[in-house]
This record gives sequence, structure tokens and C-alpha cells, in this order.
Amino acid sequence: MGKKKRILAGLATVTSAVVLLAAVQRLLMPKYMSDVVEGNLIASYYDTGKDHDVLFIGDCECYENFSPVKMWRDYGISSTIRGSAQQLIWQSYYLLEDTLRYEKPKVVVFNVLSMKYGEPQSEAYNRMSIEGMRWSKSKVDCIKASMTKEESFLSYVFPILRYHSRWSELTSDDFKYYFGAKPNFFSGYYLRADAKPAENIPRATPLTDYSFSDTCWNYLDKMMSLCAKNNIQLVLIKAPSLYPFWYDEWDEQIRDYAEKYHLPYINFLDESVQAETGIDYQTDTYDAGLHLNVYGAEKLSKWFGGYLADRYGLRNRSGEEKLAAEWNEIGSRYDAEIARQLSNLEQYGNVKGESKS
Amino acid sequence: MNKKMICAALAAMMLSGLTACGGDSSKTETSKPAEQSSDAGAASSEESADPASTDTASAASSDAASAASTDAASSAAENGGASEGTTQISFDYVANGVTLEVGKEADGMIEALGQYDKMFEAPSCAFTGTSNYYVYGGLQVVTYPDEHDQNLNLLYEVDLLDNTVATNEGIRIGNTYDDVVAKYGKPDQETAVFAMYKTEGKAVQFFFDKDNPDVISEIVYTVILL
Amino acid sequence: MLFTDSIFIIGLTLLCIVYFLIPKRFRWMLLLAGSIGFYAYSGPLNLIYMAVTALSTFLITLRIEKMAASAKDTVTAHKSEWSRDEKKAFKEKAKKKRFRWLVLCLVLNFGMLAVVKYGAFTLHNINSVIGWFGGSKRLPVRRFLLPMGMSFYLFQTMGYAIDVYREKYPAEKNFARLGLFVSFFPQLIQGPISRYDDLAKGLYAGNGYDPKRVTLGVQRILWGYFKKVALADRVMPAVTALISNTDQHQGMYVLMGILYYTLRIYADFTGGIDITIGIGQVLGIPITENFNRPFFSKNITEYWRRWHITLGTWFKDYLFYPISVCQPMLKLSKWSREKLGKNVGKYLPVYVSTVAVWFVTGLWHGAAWNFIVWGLMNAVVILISERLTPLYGRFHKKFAWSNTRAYDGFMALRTTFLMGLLRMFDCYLNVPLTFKMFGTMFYKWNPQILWDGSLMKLGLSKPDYLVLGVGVLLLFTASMLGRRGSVRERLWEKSRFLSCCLTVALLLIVVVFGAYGIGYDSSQFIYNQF
Repeated sequence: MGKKKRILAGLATVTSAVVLLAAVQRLLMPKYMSDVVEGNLIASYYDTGKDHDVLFIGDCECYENFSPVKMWRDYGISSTIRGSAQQLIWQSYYLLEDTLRYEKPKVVVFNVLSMKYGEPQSEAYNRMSIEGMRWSKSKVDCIKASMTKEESFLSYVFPILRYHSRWSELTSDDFKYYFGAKPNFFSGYYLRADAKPAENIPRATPLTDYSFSDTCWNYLDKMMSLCAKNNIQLVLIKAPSLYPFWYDEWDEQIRDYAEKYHLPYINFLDESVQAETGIDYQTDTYDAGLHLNVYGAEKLSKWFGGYLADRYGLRNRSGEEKLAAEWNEIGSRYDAEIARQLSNLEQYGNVKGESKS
Repeated sequence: MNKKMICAALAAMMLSGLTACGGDSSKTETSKPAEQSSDAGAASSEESADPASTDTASAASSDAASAASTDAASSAAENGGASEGTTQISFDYVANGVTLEVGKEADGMIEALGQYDKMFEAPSCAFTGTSNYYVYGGLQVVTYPDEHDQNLNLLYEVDLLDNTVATNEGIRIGNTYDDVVAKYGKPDQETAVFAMYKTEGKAVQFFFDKDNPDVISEIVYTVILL
Repeated sequence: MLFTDSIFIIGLTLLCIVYFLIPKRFRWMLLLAGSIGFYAYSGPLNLIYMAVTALSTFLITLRIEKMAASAKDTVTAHKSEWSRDEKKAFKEKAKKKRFRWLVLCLVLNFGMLAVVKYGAFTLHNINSVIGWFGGSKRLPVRRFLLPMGMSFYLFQTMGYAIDVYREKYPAEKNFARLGLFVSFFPQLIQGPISRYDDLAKGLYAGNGYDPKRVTLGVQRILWGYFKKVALADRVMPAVTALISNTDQHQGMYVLMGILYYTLRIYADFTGGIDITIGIGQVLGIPITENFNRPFFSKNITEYWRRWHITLGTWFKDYLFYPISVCQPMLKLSKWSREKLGKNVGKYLPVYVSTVAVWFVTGLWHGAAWNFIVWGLMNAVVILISERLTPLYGRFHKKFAWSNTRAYDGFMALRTTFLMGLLRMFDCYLNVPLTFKMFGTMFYKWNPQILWDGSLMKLGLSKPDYLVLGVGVLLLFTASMLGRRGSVRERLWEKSRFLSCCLTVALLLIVVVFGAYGIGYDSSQFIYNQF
């Protein structure tokens, strides 16, 4: 065998190994389609238009409580949410960095609940928050900041190292969505049309230490200066979820911080704000007070859209043809999804359309 | 210097060793293992050779061995600390004859407690299990899902919400800081607003009224996570 | 550092690539640098122990060699003047002097091992004896962290020193080159214990890239990883469960434990050796085989010729023979032949040597009575079967069916089971517990655990059992095929394309079916128990 041929054979072997591994990796990675759809939230951003005035960053209190479609319809505000389940503050920060690579919104809204977590929490959530990100320095930094002790950086680069054991759990979804999942989100919003009244909200157990960790404050500082550098207004909010608990002691710290740096801070749990938003915890939440359903989210978005438009001079862009076309597409999917969920509710008693038997 | 002596020496060593081991395990089953184990761990682990050694490779195992011994040491210290007080503190609350052991599987305990007055389910985002809150009169019992098995509920907290219930040692809401210290001894950790007694992975915490910082306003048995 | 650490795998890949790119004469230096880096990663302080061993051996072997040379010169110079007896006396004296240097080397190095590895154990036992006699004083027990692989590189290096003393080959004159022999990284984790004359040539040759050798080497490495990661680490949770909850896991569970642990040890140890030898093959450095299908052995003596071969031969060459022929032993032999009769006199020295060697073998495996008793049990079994050999001969002569393949298979199974049984000594917490657990096999009758789902509660799921089952079948098939020569070699000769396919397939299998990453923590074993 000639030298050239030998080298070719070697290269062919290595290439086929890499290709095969990549193919198997794709099969083994979770598709997040039938059950834990939230795993697709972060990646869904890259498929949408990149012309937003408002960017929400935060955890489930963002992606379940604000309806960008409503804000578009009522105020012509183009907004998107980059949120994922239990998204930690540094993940929000790096997602902000990531988003700024594509566009420059006028306002960034950050939900402060994640200030309570000063350390990496859960591998499952990390995966959902990080894996959808496209590769960039921000993603690398995000991984480094987020890894729990048992995780390794390498397994983010080669997810097969993490998911290899799923071979025994493959479902039809893994084949059906092999070439790409198409989750139904609405500019980062996860829509629920069912309702479960908030009852028996438990009493918050006191904590021995209410102070937020230095790590969190650092990232909040970084977030603030990144926004300042890009001439973006940062707005801090606490979404109106009754649970997990939001302690007064926490609220005070955020208020002090906001005051110190002249940042707006809205706690939607405040009675005065609640009176204005009109959230009714009997009808506007789908899981007894943890997250709002679409009716609650629309009420909240209506109020907040007005607030943002007034305060920060966001003009109504509904006249922009290209943008309007994008939002019309999202809007019609949105309406169809509400209709689908309502009909499922009627037929099966749940939004997913799972038969009880 | 012949074989006889060597044989005798071998036999003696073997015998003494056997009895030493046997004595340890049979006499003081509960207290000895830690000592014995870290010893053997340090000894056996290092060389990854043949089987035994293979199982562990040195770096990891020596870490483990030392970790084991520190654990043992610290827990011993903690036990010592706890027993300095006037009573032996029980970190597992007993309600109606049911021992509520925080950090352990909760379903059985919840079932044994019978019908609750109120219940709240808090599903984690993206289906990674549910935290449950059960209220029985003045008692609130909280469970949380296991990190690796979301269907496994572990007992997270037992809260004493009002003065109809008291700790196993008889302390209840409305009692004072001094009452607590008299019963429990010096707290392992305290500030103006709480006093805490700890053992491995668990704690009992007394919170004091904000306006009246001498008086207990809430008592919590909890897991110490992380 | 473990073979399965990602840092090891990445480092190894880089090292191999660079190895082939740099000029031949620098290659051994790269290996030395890599080995030092590897060892430093396991703990920088460990390098000190290793340096002491390398340096002391280097200086002393040179010294011994020089003394031998000058002694020879002296003899040559006085060739005509000295009588035969004078020459002999001088040679003896010179040898004794050299022997003292050797002893210094051995004492220094084994002393280091003794303190670091056995110090705590010895003091602990002394304390037990003190307690035994009612004393209340206790010696303070200080524990050292044993440097990784010390028992391996130390034995290998001491073998070299003894060989130089025995003038088997000349001493290495270059300290750095000896340093590489001592520290060669693939051998530091699980051995084998190589001989200088086997290893050195390849080590310094700087062999270049050869597609066949590299392909076969990579295949062997992957096969090793398959054994380690897909089988050994996968079965580990069950072993841990069985030995940690001994109140519940009795009777049939003990039997299952033997099965699991036998698989665990075999897959882990032979897998590690496969990786080591495979690395050597990629780099063009032949490394001695350490196993030869041990579970096909018909008896324990044969088993020990096929399992951890390099340790066995080390003890044979450097311990068993010297003990057997040393002066006190010869005296003992003579004495016993005179006093105890011809028969006993003939066997006693062999027995004493055997017991001594197995005592040390046990001790080598770990500083705990578990290992010592395990070693001595081996000696007992070996001596008993030795005594029964004539009986076996008659048995085989009388019953024709005992000479069939099927009976051979039975004997192999019997040997495997017996060795698995003895291995449980290094598994259970202590010796009395091990005996107790063996006892439960006789009075606790619970075969229903095999089918009532109990085996599913040991941390192994159905997919795990599937992988283990198929894996064991693969191991068996490979062993059977391997009896007619290297499978990889034959496949390569038959079709290079298929050989490349095998490599890719092995890689995929290891990556997908390996038990690693989150959810698998194979390293949590011994310290749960010990």
C-alpha cells in the first residue's frame, strides 16, 4: 500500500468514526418534544426574527408570565424571552451577552427570583438552559459558571458523553425529530390555557440567612454595566408568582440596589401593582399560583407593555410590514394553540390531550 | 534463624490479626467501624493492582479514605457537642407516634400521619418532581423530590407553626431563648433572629419574633442541603 | 489519575501524535516528560518517592557493576599468582560486598514502601496486641497517602537492581533513561511489573508510525476500555450493594456477589492491562503480557500461571527461589529430613517457601488482614491440591469421562469459582464477616431471588443486565477465538477494511455502552466499605 493510500485510509477511518459518533449523538440527545418541552426554549430563539425592542431574561417566571404576542398586539412592541427552567443569574447574564451578538434591544427585563441561588443547582436544568445556546465565548463562560461538581465541560462539547446511556430509553420522538425539533413557543413564551386556582399557599418557612450571595450581586453588576455599555435600559422585576416564596428581606435588598443604581424595580406581588394588573389567582394561574396561564400573562403583559411604552418611549411598530408579518405568523400559531388546548381541555380534561385511561 | 521461627512468627501474626479484627467487629459494632474502615481504606486503596487495588485508583481512593476519616471525626465532634447540652437532642420530630426523619423517604411517613387538613403541590419547572406541603393542625410537613429520582419524595422540613405543638423536648412557640438553652444547651449557630442545633445533614432551628426577639415565633426541623 | 479520566485520554492522544512527529532520538525523552507529568498530576510530592527510588537504584547498580568489574580485573591480574581456592575466596568476598550494596538498595526502597503502605497497619496491629494483653497504652498511628503505583514501579525497579547484581545484564548508565524505565506511565496504574531486559529495548527505540501496529494497538486499548467501562464499572453498583448491606444480602446473594465481583475484577484488571499493552503497541514498545485466559485454568496452580503473570514470576524469581535455596532453608531441609523422615523433609521447605510467598503476595495487595488471609488461603488450596496430585492422576486414569472436553470445562469453572470465592476476602469488610457470609450460603436457602426481581434492586436495571450479558458473551467468544492467535492480527491480515471497521465499532460501543458520566460513579466503591 502506498503512503498516500495509507494516509487516505487512516483519514477515512477517523472521519467515519467522527461522522458515526455525531449521528449517534444526535439520536441520543433528548428531543424535548412530548414531555419536557421547556428544554427547547433557549434554542428556539435562533429560529425567530432578531428585531426586538424588549428582551426578557430569567427563569420560568419570565417565560410563563409574559406574552410577547399580547404586547405586540396591544402596543406594537416587539419582544422576546430568553428564559429556561430555573435559569440561574449567570445563565441569564450570558444569554444576554449571547443575544447582544445578534441584536440590541432597547430594554432588558430581568426577573430577580434567581438571586436566591448563589451556586450551581441542578444538572438537568443546566442542560436545558445551556445546551440550546449556540457556541460562543458566552456559552463557554456560561458552562464554566454553571457546572455542578459532578459535571464536566467535555460533556457539553460532546453531549454524547452525557446522553450515551439513553440508548435504552429511546422513544419514537427521537427518530421523529431526528432532523430537528419544532417546539411551539411564541417568541420564547410557553403557553398554558388551563386554570387551577391558587389555594392553600403554604406559609413561608423562615430562613437563617436572607442575604444574596456575592456571586449573584457580581452578575447583577455585570448585567447592569453590560446594559449601560450598550445603552440599554435595565428593568428589574419580580413576577407575580405566589410560590416559590419571595421574602420581604430579599425584596428589601433588591429595592436598595435598584435605588442605589437608579434602576426601576417592579415587584408584581405588591398589592398596589396587583390592583393595577388585575391578576386574579382564582382564574389566572394554571398551577395554583406558581405560574400564570395565558389569561394572567396577557393581563400582565397589557399592564407592563403600557408601562414600558410610556416610560421608555417604545413606539408602536405594528406598521412595519416585515415585522408585522413575523408577528402575524406567531400570533396565528398562538391563537391556534389556545384553541387546541381549550378543545383538549373540553375533550380530555387536560391541555395536552392525554386520555385519562 | 530458621524456618521454625518464621513459621511461628507467621502463625502468631495471623492469629493476633484475626482476633484483633474479630474483637473489633463483635464488641463495638457501632462505634468502631469508622475507625477500622478508614484504616483499611487507606491501606488497601492506594495500589491499583489486582482486584482490590484496581477498584480504586490511588488518587481518588486516598481522597476518599481521608474524606471518610474526616467525616467520622467531624460527626463524632458534633455528637460530642450535642451531648454537652442538658438533654440529648432528637433531630427527628415525633408527631402522633410517627417519627419524621428529614432527608429520608417521605411517602411512608406522610401516609402514617393520616389525613391532612391542607395540602399544596408545587411541581418543579419542567417536570423534575414535586415539592409537597401538608398541614396537620399546627404542623407543616414539606417534601422535596430526590435529585436523581424525581418520583422519590424526601422529607424536607417539619415546621411547628403555632403553640398547639411542641418539640420532642417540650419547647413550643411562645417559649423564650433561655427555655431553649436550658433544654438544648448552647446552640451550634445563632444570631439575633435564630438559634440552630445541627447534626449530620439535619438541624432544628428556633426563630425568634422580629418585634420581640426573645420569644420563639417558629420552630423548624430541616435538612441541611449542599 | 485513572485510565478513564478524560484528562488521561486527551493527554495520551496528544502524546501519541507528538511522539510520531518528533525525531526518533527525542521520543524516549517525550515519554519521560509525559510520565513525569502524569505522575506529578497524581500528586507532585509522589515524585519525591519515585526520584529516591530511581536515584538510589541508579547509583547503587552502577556501584555494584563497577565493583564486579574491578573484582574481575583483580582476579585477572592475579590469575597466575592465586590458587583456585584463593580466587574463589576473593570472588565470594567481593560478591558479599556487592550483596551489601544490594541489600542497602532493597532496604531503603522496600523500607519506604513499608513505612508508607504498611506503617499504619503494623502499628494498628501492635496496638491490638497491646490491648490483647490488657495494656492501655496505644502507639500513635500516622497514616501516609501511598503514592500511586508505588508497589508496581518499586517491584519493577528492585527486580532490575537484583538482576544487575546477578549480572544478568549491565546497569543502565544514563539516569534519565533509567528514570523512564521506573516511571513509564502506562504501567503506573495497574502494572504489569516489567523486566528491564523486556521493556528497555522498546522504550528507547523510538519506533515510528506503523499503520498495522497502531491500528491493532488502538483496538486493544478500546477493547480494554470496553471491559473496564462497559462491564467492570457497570457491575460495580451491584457489588457495592451486596457487600455493604450484609444483613440482607445473604445466601444466594453471596453467590451472586462472587459472580459479580469475579466479573468486576477480571474486566477491570485485564481491561487495564489491555489498555497498557495497547498503548505500548501504538508506541512500538512491547510490554509483557500479564494474563493468559486465566479462567480457562484447570487448577489453581495453573490459574496463577495465567493471572497477574508478572507478579507471580517476580515472586518466583526474586522471593521463592532465593528462600528455597537460602542457607537457613537448606539447613531446615537437612534437619527435617533427618528428624522427620524423607517424605516430610522433602516437602517442608517447599511448603514454608510457598506460605511465605503467599503471605507476602497477600500483603502486596493491601495492608489489611483481608488480603493476608486471602493470600494464605491461596497457599492452602495450592498445597492441598499439590498433595492430592497423585490421587487426581489415578482418578483420571480410572474414569475415561474425566478426560473429555466437558470435564475440562467443569474444571475451569470450578477453578474460576474457587478463585472468585477467595476474592471475596478483599471485598467484605473484614475476615470474620467474610467467613460468616460464606456460612450463610449453606443455611440461608433463598434461590427465589434469582427470579423474583430481587436482582433488579441491586442498582442494575434491565439494560444493565443486557449489556453485561452480551459483554460476557463477547469476552468468552474473544477468549475462545484468541486461543488460535491474536484475533486482531488475523482480522488485519484478512481485511484491512474490516479491521478499520472493528476499530470504529469498538469506539462506538465503548462510548455508547460504557457506564460513565453522571449517574455512574464507579469510584465510590471501596471507601463505602473499607
